[in-house]
Amino acid sequence: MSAPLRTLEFRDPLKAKQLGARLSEVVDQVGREPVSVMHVCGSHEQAIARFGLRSAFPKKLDVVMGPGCPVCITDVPEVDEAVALALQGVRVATYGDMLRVPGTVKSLGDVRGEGAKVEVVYGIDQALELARATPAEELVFFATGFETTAVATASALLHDPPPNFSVLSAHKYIPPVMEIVTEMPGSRIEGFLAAGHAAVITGSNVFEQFVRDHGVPVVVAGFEPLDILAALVRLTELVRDREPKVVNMFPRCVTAEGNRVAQEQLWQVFTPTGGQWRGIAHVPNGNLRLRDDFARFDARRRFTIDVAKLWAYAPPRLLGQCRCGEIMSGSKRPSDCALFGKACVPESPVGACMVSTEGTCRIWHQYGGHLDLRSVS
Amino acid sequence: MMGATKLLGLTCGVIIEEGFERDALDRIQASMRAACREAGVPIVTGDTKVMGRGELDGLVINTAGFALASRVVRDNGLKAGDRLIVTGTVGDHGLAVMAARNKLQLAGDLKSDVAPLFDLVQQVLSAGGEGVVAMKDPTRGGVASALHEMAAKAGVGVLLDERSVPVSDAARAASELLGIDPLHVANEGKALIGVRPEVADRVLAALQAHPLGRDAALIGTVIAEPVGKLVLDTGFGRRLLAEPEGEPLPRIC
Amino acid sequence: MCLGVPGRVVSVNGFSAVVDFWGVQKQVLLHLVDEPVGPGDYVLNHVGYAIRKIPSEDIAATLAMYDQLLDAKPEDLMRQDIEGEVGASKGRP
Repeated sequence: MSAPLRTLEFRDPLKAKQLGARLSEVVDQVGREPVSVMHVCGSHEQAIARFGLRSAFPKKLDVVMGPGCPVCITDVPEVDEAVALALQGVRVATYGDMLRVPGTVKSLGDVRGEGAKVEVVYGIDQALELARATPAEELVFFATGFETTAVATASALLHDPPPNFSVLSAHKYIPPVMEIVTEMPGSRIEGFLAAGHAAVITGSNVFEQFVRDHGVPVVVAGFEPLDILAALVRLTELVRDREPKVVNMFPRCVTAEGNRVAQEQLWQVFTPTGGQWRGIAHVPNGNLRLRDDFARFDARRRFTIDVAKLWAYAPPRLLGQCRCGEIMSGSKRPSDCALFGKACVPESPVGACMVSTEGTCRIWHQYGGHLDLRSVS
Repeated sequence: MMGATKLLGLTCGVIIEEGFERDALDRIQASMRAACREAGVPIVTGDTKVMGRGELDGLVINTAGFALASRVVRDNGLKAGDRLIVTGTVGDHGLAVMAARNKLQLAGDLKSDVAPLFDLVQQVLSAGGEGVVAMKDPTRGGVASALHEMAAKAGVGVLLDERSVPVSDAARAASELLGIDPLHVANEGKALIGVRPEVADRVLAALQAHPLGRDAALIGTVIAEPVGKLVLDTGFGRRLLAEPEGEPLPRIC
Repeated sequence: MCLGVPGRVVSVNGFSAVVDFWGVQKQVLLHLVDEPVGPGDYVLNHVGYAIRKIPSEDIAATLAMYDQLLDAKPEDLMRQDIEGEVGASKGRP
């Protein structure tokens, strides 16, 4: 069987049921409830939602969605910069995920509807092609995503990009934010599922220091139903045994050292810097900024971006009341937020958790909390 | 889609932007002619208007069909216990359009399923008779939107078995690459058919005997609760299947 | 957070490869992959870049690892029950 088809073996419902039953046993053995673990990956939430895994999790296990969706945590001012550039007449290309993410006043989708040049691309190579096809016109690539996606941006900038091409980086780096969330007051997270595809780049060793500092186990997990269930079994075993360590449950893609070739390119182009993550906190070393050697490809240094102009008609700021940070740290639920379902809805989200289809609030809003559908027939 | 038994004709109104390319117009005309011949239905009336440059984007075509039906089958006739059939693989059209529109440069077997369904629907009606209670074409918004509408109009819910939904390999590949659910994208040559349980097998057999219905499958059951919602059984668990919001976009995460 | 899709390399031309994903082919760039890649190899793709060569024997190894988790405490009665339940429903083609 070919490898892509073999990945379907990780969607075997029989094994999933077995692993689900085993997960219940292990959670019972922990001997208290709820056992709270966090994943820091939008794709984990996506897979959990898509395959309906939440309905298969034991009731005593709380799998909290952490700040793992790069779309959600892209901060308002970063979206504003892209929107302002588009309104200034610059052609902006970005990933499809970003089109509907609201800035202070507007999203890129809104201004595209008003005639601004906004292109949706599948990859940065497609943005480069657009730039090469129209050499007389500036093209800014609004680059979002974690290290997995940032390495693609880095590689593109290292391999002869055209002179009319530049990057507006909103790239983020995951490892620092896990510390922030763990240290949040009221955090009851007892273990982390680490994002497998980010760890493909960084390697699982990147989490060793975190585990030593915080005494919380980390399990690197893949994205098929069996990957997630197996990783949860292992993680709850580590919680049960009070064994804080790093376990790589995604060895078919993740090594201890990670992808050195990709890391070299990443750090050649980017440097970590502190920055605000939407709805969470200022994260030291959480943002990836272009190094000075690449200043000529840095849209922030190439253009005067008139963000303030956007704010002339800004609505009253609701962000102060947003509870996303606490929801992501697992200490609050969406229903604890005064804005949820009222001022903050999918069509006009205020906070990170309502922005993305993977956000906790969005999922609650859409599915009415955690419905138990087992009995429906 | 209402269960027509005799086709009479199509209307065709065309609004053209001044300066629209002649060759493109000829190509569209030839394609319409071929489609009409395939479906055995003439264009019998219509009007053409030209608008100024910049007042519309190229070309707008609007058509409506008129026909006779011995029994009108609408999209609101479902009741609890009915079975749901889809006439073939889902998502091909929407994913093919998305791949082309976003210049994804996918090579392979991904192509639109556009096809005239009149003959196929005839087979369904003659096999299922009065037992065929609802029909709808899952175009924009895909199977998810169409089933939501059918469920809401009839005041019922739907339990959908995800693994029974036929999806072509190419559409599955594109949906995995783009992160888009095949149930959320448009089809142009498929129908969703609600039938009473006692005729389900007969209708399915009639569909599968037809060249356009080879991949037809039973994909779900109509349930009393929750009203207006789709419950998706993934094989791993269950969740609600939401309606897509706006045009689906390729994802990175 | 990052959509990663595995595919099989069909051909390689410098740093560009044609990769097959369930019958659909797409061009994928190889600048980021840390091992030599040739036709027949499997790669993990993200936004048009291969980020990892997947050794195909690792798939079997991972599945074996999951079985080990289950074997930690085999419960044959429960397993039979589950097998019966799942056997009754139709699998993915």
